[in-house]
Amino acid sequence: MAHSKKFDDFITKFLAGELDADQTVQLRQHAAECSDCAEMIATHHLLLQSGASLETAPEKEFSQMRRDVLSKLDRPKKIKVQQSVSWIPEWFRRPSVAYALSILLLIGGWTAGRLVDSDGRKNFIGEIRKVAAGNTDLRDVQNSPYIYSNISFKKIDEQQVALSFDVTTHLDIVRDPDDPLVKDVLAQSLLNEESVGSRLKAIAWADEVIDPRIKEALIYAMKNDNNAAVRMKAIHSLMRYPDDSEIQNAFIELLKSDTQVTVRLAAIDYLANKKFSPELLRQIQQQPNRAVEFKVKKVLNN
Amino acid sequence: MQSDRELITQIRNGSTKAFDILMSRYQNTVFRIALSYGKTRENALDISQNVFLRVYQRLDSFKGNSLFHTWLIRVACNESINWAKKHKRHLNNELFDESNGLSFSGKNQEQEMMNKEQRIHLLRSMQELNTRYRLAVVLRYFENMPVKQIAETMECSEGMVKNMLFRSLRKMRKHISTVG
Repeated sequence: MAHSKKFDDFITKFLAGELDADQTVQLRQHAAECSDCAEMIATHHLLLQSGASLETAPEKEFSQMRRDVLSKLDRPKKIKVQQSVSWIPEWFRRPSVAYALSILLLIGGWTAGRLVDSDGRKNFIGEIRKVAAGNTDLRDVQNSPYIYSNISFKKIDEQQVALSFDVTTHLDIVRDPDDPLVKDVLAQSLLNEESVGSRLKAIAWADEVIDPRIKEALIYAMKNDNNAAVRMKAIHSLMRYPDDSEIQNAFIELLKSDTQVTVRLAAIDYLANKKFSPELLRQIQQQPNRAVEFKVKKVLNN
Repeated sequence: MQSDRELITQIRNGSTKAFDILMSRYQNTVFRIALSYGKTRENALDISQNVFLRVYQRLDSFKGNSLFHTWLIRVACNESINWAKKHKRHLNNELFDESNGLSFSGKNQEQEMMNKEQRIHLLRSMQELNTRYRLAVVLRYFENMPVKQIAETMECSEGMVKNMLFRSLRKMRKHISTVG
């Protein structure tokens, strides 16, 4: 049985404990023939066992820990001595030694860099480009074996963009804006949970590139990002597509359930002049916030 | 049994006994989070001590908008990460294993022997996850939290939590498959 995105969704639900009985049976049958899914399931069970059986410290040690905490509660803070460097010999800590060592490391690093196989680099770029070309939607991007970081994206002209990113090693390449690798890296940068700044930049770059993966990644960011500024920026970017039904549905969902008032007000701007069924209009008009309720009734009143 | 809210009121009024009870109540939770960043039992106890000191110092800033448990876990995670950053050099030389106080309970000794190596490998593979992914895994599998509660604790959407779990396990499974 071939692996498909459907089973990635099943695995995701399975890990969260949300699979229904029918889906569980399907997953079990599939896992009998798919080693990827079988490994995910086995890892899940092993983690559950580990979690359940992991022993914490003996009570005696916890008691001592609590006593130590209580004894420090009202004591003034002592100035900490830099004990962490005491094991380093005194002569090693001199600035002149540190400068000499860093120059040696620079020379060594530069020499090693010159020896790196440039053919190997081309093959590597070819390999990740091949994977990128095979990624057709957001789920593929999320499941990509290559994780990109430290991303920058600059338009050179209509035919070329300069793309810079780390994937196990830093790469600087120039490509056509329609290149699948450009789109893949950009879509992943929208999912970069570690840095709000990189997600905001990625949304700005997304304005230069039109691609279903980017659109999906923007919708995902708009609905799921934990930073309101990122969600707002994604909203403004998606406003370029006034007649897209998928985007419209996403905005309706935002209006019904997003916790940020500013996000819901922005969603109303997108949905102005759209037609809704009476039932849907009734649902949208039920708003806990008065400002939003007022604007909804004023603007969405067909 | 006194509620967290009652204990917090007493602590704010100066009761160290109430604080001791609160620490006893949550020491295992804090320890498990600390262990996932500190690797050894000794480090985890050290981090736990820092966590509870921080909790005491910042108790006035806990407004009661969320559960105390949720707030405590956030403090524990932040302190664990800060501790791990400060001790990065030493941590690189330390391993999750029995010599560092790691142990599992179990009735079936034979089964436990077979699984122990895999479990230790699994915990080591957690070290390669980034801090947020690691916390999601710890809360799901070591604290048995439902996805909704994890999302509230980590201040992100449920979708993001599920995504983090999926990606974490996908990364960790490669280590298990090499152990066999």
